[in-house]
Amino acid sequence: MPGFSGERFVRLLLLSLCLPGGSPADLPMTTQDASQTQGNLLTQMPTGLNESSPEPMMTTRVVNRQTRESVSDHSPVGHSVSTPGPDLTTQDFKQAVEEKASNFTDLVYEVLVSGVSGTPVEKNITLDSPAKVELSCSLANKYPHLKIVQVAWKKGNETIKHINKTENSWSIQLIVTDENELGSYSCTLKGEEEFKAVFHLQVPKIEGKEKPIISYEGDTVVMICKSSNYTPITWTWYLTNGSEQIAINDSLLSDKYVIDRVPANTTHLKILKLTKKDDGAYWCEAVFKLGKSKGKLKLKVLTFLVPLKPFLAILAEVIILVAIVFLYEVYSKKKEKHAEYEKEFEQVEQLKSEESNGVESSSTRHRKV
Amino acid sequence: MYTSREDIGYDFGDDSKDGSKTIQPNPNIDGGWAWMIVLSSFLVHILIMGSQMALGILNMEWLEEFNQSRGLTAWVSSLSMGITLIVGPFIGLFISMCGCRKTAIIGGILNALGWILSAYASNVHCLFITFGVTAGVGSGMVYLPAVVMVGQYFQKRRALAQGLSTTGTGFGAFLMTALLKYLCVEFGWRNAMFIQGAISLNLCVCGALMRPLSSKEFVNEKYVVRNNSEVNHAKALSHSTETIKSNGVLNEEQEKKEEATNEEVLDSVQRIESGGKSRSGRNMYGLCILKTVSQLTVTVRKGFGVWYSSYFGAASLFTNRVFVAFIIWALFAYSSFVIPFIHLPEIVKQYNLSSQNNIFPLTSIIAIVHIFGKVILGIISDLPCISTWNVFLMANFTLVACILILPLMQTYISLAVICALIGFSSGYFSLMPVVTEDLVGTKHLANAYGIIICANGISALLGPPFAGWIYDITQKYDFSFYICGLLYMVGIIFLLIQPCIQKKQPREKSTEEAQV
Repeated sequence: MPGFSGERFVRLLLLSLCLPGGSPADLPMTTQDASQTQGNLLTQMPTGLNESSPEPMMTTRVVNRQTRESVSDHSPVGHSVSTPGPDLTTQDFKQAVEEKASNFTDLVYEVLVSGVSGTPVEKNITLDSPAKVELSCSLANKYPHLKIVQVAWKKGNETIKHINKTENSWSIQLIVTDENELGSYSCTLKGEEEFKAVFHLQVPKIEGKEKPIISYEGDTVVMICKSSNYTPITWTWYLTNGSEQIAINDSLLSDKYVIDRVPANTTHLKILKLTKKDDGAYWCEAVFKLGKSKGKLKLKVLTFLVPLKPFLAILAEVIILVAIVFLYEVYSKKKEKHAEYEKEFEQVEQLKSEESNGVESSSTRHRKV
Repeated sequence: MYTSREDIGYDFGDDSKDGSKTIQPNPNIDGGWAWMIVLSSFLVHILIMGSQMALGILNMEWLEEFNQSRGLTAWVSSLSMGITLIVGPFIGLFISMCGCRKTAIIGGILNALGWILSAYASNVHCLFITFGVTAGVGSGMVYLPAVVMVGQYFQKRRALAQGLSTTGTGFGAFLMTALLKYLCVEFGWRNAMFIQGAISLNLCVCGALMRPLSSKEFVNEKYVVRNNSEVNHAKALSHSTETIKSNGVLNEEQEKKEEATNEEVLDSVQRIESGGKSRSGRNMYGLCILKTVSQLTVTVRKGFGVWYSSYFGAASLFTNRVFVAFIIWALFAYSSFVIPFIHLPEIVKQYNLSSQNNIFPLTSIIAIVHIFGKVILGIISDLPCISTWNVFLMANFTLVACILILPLMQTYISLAVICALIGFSSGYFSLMPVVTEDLVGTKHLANAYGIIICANGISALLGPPFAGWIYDITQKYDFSFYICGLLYMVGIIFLLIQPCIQKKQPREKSTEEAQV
């Protein structure tokens, strides 16, 4: 609900941005396309800001028409950005993949810097195959009074030349062809205040599971690794033995491990006849054109006795406690009864003798018991 | 249930002037074993309410395992919570028939069974039965006795005792969440539920701690029967006084008569028993069985009688109009308390307060202050110069004011203050059993509070969907605050017209308090 208006706003942007552009390989056309979209973006921003909730920062992804794809990136305000993803159909996605084989993917990313100075705006960009990437930092229209004195784009400590696209926007263009070009790119805008944005270019992450998979000795377990939006070239499974990782291939214990790679973006590792030794961490590695990515899965093999032990321990504790409570009650009741008999006896005596100062004598006798 | 016997004891003491010992109140009231009862009730709150708060963790596991919709899966936990409260009236019957202790022990076993069976559930519908119904009824069977016993054991410090024991909910939420998280990681959710079943068996320990208050009076009465010939006279006297008193509270003369005859049967059996004891232990065994059987039937009949009379017939609890107003209030109250919890995250986002909220979440402010609120309100309302009812009303007013003001707040500080006030004033939840007890007397507490928590349960079940529905219609959360605040106001107005509909009530209440 909270991101509701924001989401609608982004969707609107995407609609307006999906303009017919040039072919992806055509550089000047694309830049024009990008600047055009920028114009759109800037004109729409004020209204959008007024309408939607005033979030500290806004990241917008602009993707060229031919190559739009659903990138599942986790930016700090992920909701508003990643929600349009599912809207793009998988059919589109496959088309995009085919096209990528021949051409470079052409991607344009923009970060709108605003909000608290000092804390960098971070954005993750996922790439699985070579692509031409344009990254730009622009200042939100909220701060027209700010004068930016110095702008620096960096990768690590290395400064990269940037171009000034519009008055308040600075960008770099990269052609990513191998692993070394991935990494973190940052832009720093210095004025009265300093703003920073960081772009993380990375291969698709294979998400493992934090929670261990629980199964029992003798059972069969299936572990699944999935790359949701990108199809890797190959999959490899590793098992951890002490500190070293051993690849599971057909030569290794083929009667114990069965690997299934259909469909291409998922892989199943089936382990038969589990024993205590199978306990531990497993890794699935996906190989993409731009690099490798690993996901971790944990397997926990239990015997049926493991959960039974604490169960029986607690059960015993409960029985002992209940017994103590009841025994104590019986004991204290008996004591009370004794006191009562005593009193009774006393009172009979009292009736026989006098009725005065009976209270005190009774209390003293009570104590003797 | 045993108050009548108590009366007999006192009356006898007064009549025959047989020494001041019997007149002394039970030492376990307001002290001694009573604190064990508070401990037991505290543990019950940790184990039941705490683990219900921690169900979110299991909910996630169920979502993953059964691949069902969020809504359907969420029903499991809300069913269990709802049933815990809604079965209140039936648990009242149980308590009347076999006493708090047995009810609690059986409930503990049932609850544990629910958890253990849920460990083997094959689908969500299975969980509805095993977890929602079985564990829910089980928790209901422990929860109500825990509240009622505290009410029975305390006179002067009732509100404080209830406050202390209900803080278990807050502590339990933290404790059980951590425990369930650990168990799920270490053993998987199925084994976690299995082990949690064993932990739930600790409810039986709590149940065992709920020693019936009657023991001493029972002995007194036996002694009376055995010893004196003038007893019958005294008893008749006491019965007559009793009926007069009960006429004051609830006109249930007929039922009382029946009870009286029952008691006579019981007494005669006891007399025979004591005779047998004095002569020889020969036919003791047979008599013992006879005694237990007759005692059992008598208690069951009596219990059912009490339960039946408090619901149906001319003298039911519903003839007490203040109580009816209280029920209506309870129907509205609970749902308004959940509204802030539903909408707070959204308010935080809307006003851009996430950073502050992450440091100190508003919901935790409510939760922490809520714990203090219970204890402090308990202490305040135990002061002799302040009536519980007024504290209760004040807390209600504060809460409703906060709910109505909350949508107007736009900064973190003001929201935090309002949330703290909401948390503090909602500490009146611990006063509910005390107020109920004041309205209907200790004897009917179990049934009356059963009805109240049933109303609360309905309100808690319907509140969140209602709030969602209002949001869907208006697209603004403000209105759910306003509407729920207004409904709450209606509930409070019902409470306010109390003096108009029944003026005699306070006096009767006080006389009854004096009796017990």
